Amino acid sequence: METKDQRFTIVGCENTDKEAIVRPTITYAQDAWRRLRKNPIAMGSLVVLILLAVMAIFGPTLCGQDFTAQSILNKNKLPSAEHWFGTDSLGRDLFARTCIGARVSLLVALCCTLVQIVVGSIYGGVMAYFGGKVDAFMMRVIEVLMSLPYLLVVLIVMLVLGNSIFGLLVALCVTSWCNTARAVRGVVLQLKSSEYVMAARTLGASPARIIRKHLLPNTLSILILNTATSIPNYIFQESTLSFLGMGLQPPDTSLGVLISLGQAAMEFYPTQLVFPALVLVSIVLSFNLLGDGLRDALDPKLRK
Amino acid sequence: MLKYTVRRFLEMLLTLFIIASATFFLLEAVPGDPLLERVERLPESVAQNMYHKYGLDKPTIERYFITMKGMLKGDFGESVRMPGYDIHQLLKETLAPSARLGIQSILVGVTLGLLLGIVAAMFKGTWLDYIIVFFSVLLISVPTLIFGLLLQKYVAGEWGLFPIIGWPKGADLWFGGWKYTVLPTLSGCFSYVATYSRLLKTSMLDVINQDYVLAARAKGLSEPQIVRRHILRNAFIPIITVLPMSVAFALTGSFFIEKIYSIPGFGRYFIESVQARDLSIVLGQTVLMAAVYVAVVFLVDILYTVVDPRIRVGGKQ
Amino acid sequence: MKKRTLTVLLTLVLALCLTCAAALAEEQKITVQWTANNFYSFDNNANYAAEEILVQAHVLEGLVRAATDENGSQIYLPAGAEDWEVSPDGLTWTFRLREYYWTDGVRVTAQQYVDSFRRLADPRNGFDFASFVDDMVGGKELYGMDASTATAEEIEAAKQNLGVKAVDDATLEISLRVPASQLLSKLSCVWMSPVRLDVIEAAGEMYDTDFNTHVWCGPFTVTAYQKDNSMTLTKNEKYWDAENVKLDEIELILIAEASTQSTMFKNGELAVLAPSGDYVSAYRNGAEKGDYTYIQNFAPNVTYFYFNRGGNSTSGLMESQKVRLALSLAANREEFTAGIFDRYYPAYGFVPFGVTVEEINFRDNVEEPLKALAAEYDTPEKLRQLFKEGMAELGDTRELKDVTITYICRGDSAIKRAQQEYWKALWESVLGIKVEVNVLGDSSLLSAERKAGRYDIGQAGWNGDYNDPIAFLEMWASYGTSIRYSGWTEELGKKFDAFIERLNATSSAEERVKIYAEAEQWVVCDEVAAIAYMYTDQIFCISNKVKNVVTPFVGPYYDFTHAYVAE
Repeated sequence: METKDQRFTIVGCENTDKEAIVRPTITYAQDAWRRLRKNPIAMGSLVVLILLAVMAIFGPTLCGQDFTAQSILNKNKLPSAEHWFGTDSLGRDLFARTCIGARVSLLVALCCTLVQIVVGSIYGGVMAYFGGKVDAFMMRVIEVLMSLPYLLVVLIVMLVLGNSIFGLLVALCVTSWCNTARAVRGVVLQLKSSEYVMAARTLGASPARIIRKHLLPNTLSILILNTATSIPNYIFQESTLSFLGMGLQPPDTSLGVLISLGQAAMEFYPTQLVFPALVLVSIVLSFNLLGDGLRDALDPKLRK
Repeated sequence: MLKYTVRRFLEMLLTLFIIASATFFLLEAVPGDPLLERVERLPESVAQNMYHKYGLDKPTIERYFITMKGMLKGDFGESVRMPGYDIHQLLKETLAPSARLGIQSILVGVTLGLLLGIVAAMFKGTWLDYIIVFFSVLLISVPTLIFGLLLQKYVAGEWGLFPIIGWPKGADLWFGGWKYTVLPTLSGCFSYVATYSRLLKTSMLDVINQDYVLAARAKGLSEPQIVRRHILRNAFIPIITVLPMSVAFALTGSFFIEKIYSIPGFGRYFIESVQARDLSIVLGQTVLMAAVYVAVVFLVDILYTVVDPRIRVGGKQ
Repeated sequence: MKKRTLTVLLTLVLALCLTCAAALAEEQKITVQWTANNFYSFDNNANYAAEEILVQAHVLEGLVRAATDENGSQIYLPAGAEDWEVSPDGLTWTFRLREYYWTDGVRVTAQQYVDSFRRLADPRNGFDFASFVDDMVGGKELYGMDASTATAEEIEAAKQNLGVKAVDDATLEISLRVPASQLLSKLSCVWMSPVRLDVIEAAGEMYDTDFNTHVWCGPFTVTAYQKDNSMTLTKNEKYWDAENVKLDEIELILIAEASTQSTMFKNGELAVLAPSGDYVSAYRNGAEKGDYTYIQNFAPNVTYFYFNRGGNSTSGLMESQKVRLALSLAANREEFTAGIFDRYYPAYGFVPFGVTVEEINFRDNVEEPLKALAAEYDTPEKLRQLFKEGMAELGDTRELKDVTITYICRGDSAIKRAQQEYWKALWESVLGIKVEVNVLGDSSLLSAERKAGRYDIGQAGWNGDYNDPIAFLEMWASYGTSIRYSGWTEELGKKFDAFIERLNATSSAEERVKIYAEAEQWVVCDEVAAIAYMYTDQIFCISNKVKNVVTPFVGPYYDFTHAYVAE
């Protein structure tokens, strides 16, 4: 067929490309990562965290100082080329000690937070979803656990597991998940009567699937917040217990212990408090800002 | 509702009983007893006399029943470490300062925290938001003790604005003597400010993108109205979940703040009495705290349904 | 003896004249830091803690009052007793009481002193200082009774036989079984102050805790008390010497943090400050400016490590004298005191500076026994050799690096932690052994661990309760306190008893000093019962506004009886 109007030509139609989607397929995680990368503050925090981790792992080797080597003559020195953060009351290198302390504290905080989040969200999800008697019973269990004198619980755990870092970790975790569980319960209670959960149930989804797929993702922001804010808590609880002689034994150290020691000297040698505190604040701040970024990135409602 | 309340009350009693029993046996299982340190210095015969006097020579099970029987009558027994004191006497002398400090701290802290939370959520991503995040992180990353001491040294010591130590006594116990309470309250409220501002901001952000907020905005509600009517109300669930523990802890004292400001409060006994294996005091304070806690949890469950009518805690599915 | 009383009186008058020198301020009220949680009882017979002593020394008046003369030596001023006489054989002391009254108007009588001593030593009461009547006739027979087997009649009879007698209302006669020059020092202690049996009976169970049930006879009375927090002492207008008591009120309050104490002292809110930690050097260096008076006194205190001698020590090595000696000599006492504390004195003996035998200053006359040995074993090699020899004697052939010593302690403060870490590093580097520090969470756990014998060494401090070397050495006797809480055994204690027997046989001060020197040599060198490493001190900063504060060597930290606030 000839067209009269020469202004138009037939370019034809390639059937093969017809169904193709212009944008590449990306998963939820990829999308979140993409959006996280665009957030400069969150990425900055991530970099700081990585730097801190590197410092905690390689710091002592880097500065070439032993964190236990005492030199009474060199005590309470200000920062210098030899001692980057100065020395403590026994003349030990504060930089090396801060690195070791950060290592222990990060380990303690991350392990405990992990347990807290996992146990807490499962327990809270189950409790809220089933409601009624199950909820009542599980809630009473939490009440009992939360009400027992904390120190007593720690003493018992230490008695059973021995006075060690592992015992300390367990002791810190025994009751810590309760608050998370309650927070998750609160949110899930609110969501479980929403329309999409009803829809899922009508379609025959199992309780596990509903909790996992529909309820828990919506508690994510609370969980992220929980993670970010419980890190300093763990670090200080650990130091309180270590100071009482439970957990770390001298000369092992942690950020919390260093801060407590620094507090005793803060009027005369403020550097001994400032440096460990600065490291701790950086850790906590980074986790919080990264958490904020993650929250935005993971929020399905913000997906474009 | 009445039936639900009665059932919850009975459950509460049972819970308290379980808590008390667990505390008793845990304390039994820890090495050491309240007299051990004291009798080390004394001849064996005197030591035996002392154990007999406090009934510590009886078998565990018998002592358990004696303790529980006493507890049902409200008698927790005499403190071994502090002769002449039982939990009631101790509370009479020390609970008021602790409770006042706690109430003031929590009121100031939570109010301030919520306000900052709202601001942070509404101005999310701006410098205001980051300043609030930074300060709340600073407040939770530096121990109370350090803030307390710094406030004391500068605000009270160097500038002389408030007394360095002390707490209102006598007629001023609950109302009055405010100048003594300013710094302790301030030191005590920091952790609440940090916790609640972060919490409210997060849960507000969860709500802000919900469809009903969009709908409200579309129908032309003013921004303050949207925040007040739609966002805040729905964002409050996480807040009232966390409150009970805060209240229970706040009422019974803060070890560090009481220590810094020489406040004759109850906070110190939580650690001391466990360390001294002083059963009567440990039991007394555990039951007290548990009772407050359990009661507030109950209130919260009621509040849930008030805040969000879709939630039904007590009823069946 | 009369003459001595007179000089003492003159000193007192002199002190009072000094009082008149500065003008008195309008408000005669002072505030003092006081570790309130260490105050347990208003019952002076039951007291033992320094905080209790501080209170009772101000609200009760015993026979004599401890003070310090211008040379810094301990003296005893007449207080409840106007004067006293000693029989030529030194066995009978007769005190003449002045006429003074309790706050309820009842006169203080000799019988109330008799009641107090008998009650203190009554084995049924289990008071800490029951053994203070040890020197008195029938003392040992009374406090040494087994309360669970003795009948009430037997105990009553023993109480009647105690060598203390009220000749009349104003005359008290004390009969000793051995001449004991330290009697005055003991009598200045608050648990030797008079008691009122009628008041005790009326108060019943409240006597320990409720000050309202009490009557007082000292310069002050208790008018308010908040448990574990504060106490108010108010001037006692009925005190016999009330006209020379200028302070109207002493507020004792717990101020837990050193930083707070310092801030308050600088602001003029505290009368005295006992600085600790880094504050010591700050206040020492700042003393030149003259804003306060800086005092450093000897303290009747020795700090030491004890060994687990129960035969079940963790390493199995504590039975060897050479191992113990090596551990002791390895301790670098100078570095420790200077480096960790920047105060205190290195100890090479067991009797601290300042302790006297009658007029003889013990430490000035007796060289510290460990000094010679320390000079001999002056290198790590020699010490390791000594340690190895000790192991060999026990048939232990391990290498030094395979040996682990367990050190138990408590540690809830920065300074304690620093000490633990210091000792661990020190022994490990000098001796080449391993040291495991076991920090126990609370004192109950520590007691339990000690009872179970799961340790090699532990740390302790000892405060002499009165001024005589025996107050430090007696703990190693078969009846001493070490057996009960520091790994010592009765068999070992019996060896020490030989010194006690020799002491009881003599009344010459020179002779006693010699025997004490031998006993000390035995404790720290021959037997190495303990590693004494430090004598503590007492450092006080006294505000320029507050005058006439007395800081005795033994007794209360401060005596404010004649103190006043200047303008």
